[in-house]
Amino acid sequence: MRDGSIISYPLMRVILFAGAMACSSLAMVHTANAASGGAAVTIIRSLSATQEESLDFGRILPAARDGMVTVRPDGGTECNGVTLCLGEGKPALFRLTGAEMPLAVSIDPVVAMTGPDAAHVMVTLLPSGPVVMASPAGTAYAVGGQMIVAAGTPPGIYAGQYNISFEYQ
Amino acid sequence: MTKKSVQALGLTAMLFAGAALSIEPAHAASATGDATVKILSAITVTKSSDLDFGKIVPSAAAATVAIAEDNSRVCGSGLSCFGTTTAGAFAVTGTANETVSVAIDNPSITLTDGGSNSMAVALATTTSAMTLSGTGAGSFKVAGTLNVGANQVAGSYSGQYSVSVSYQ
Repeated sequence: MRDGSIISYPLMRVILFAGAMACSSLAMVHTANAASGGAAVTIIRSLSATQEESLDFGRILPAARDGMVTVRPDGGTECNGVTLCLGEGKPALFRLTGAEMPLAVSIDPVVAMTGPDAAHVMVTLLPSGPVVMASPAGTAYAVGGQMIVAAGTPPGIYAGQYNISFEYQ
Repeated sequence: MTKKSVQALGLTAMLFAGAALSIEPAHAASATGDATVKILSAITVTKSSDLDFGKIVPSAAAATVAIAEDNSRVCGSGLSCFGTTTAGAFAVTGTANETVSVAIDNPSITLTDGGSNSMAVALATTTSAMTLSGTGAGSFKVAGTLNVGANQVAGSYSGQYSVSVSYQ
C-alpha cells in the first residue's frame, strides 16, 4: 500500500491541477460573457383614508307628499317637496393621505338610514368623482347624497353607514 | 456554519416575520362613512285661553286696560274694571328638545261689537323663542293693551289674532 500511495500521489496532483485549470477556464469564460442586470423598485407612501365629517342632511320637516333632499359634494343643498330643511346639511369629507398618485374610488351606491321603530330612509350617495389624487399633506374627498323623504316619515334621528375605498391606480 | 451565524439568521427571520405582521396593505385604504338626518315632527299650536280684558265701565276720557301674561290687570285712570281677566295662552307640540321661534302675526288688532264701534288692542309676548321639552311640549302667553275710547259704546267686543311657531 505504501508503494501504491507513492505512485498514486503524483497522479492525484495531476488530477487536482487539471481540475484547477478547468475551474479557472470556467471562470474566464464566465467573465468574458458577463452582463449587468438592472433592478428597480418604487416605494409608495402608505395610503390612508379618514372620515373627517359625516354626511348630514340636517333637520327636515316632511310635507304631506314625498319630497327629496339633496346635499351635493360641493356643499350645496336642495330641498324639494318638503316643508322645511333646517340645520344646513353638509357632505361627508374624507382625508386621503398618501403618494401624489391618482386613486380609484369605489363606494356603496345606496345607504339605508334607520330611524325609530326600524323605519328607514334611503340615500343615494353622490361621490365627488371616480378618481381623486392623494397627497402627502392629505386631500379632501367629499361625498354628498340624495334622500327621498316619504310623506309620513316618522320623526326621529336616522343614521346609517356605507363603505368607501380608495386604491392607487 | 457556526452556531452564532445560525442564531443570527434566526433573528433575521423573526424580524421579517414581525414586519410582515405589522404592515398593512398600503396600496388601498377603506373607510366607513356615516350618514345622518333628523326628521322633525310637525308643530301644532293650540289656544289654551283667550285674551280677556274682563268688564270695563268707560269714562269721559280715553284710557287703557292692560292684561299682563300673569293674568294681572292694570286699569286705566277713570275706568272701572272688574270681572275675570286672562292673558292669551297657547300650547305647542313638536320635536323634543328643538328650539322654536314665536311670533304674533298681527300685533295690532281691532275689537268690534259687530257694528261700527271698535277698540284697538296692542298685543305682545315675552316669548320670542323657546326650547320644547323632552316630550316636545311648550307654551307661551300673550299680553294685551286695550285702548278704551271716551264714552266707549257699551257692548261685547271681540277680535282675532294669530301666532306663528317655527323651528329655528
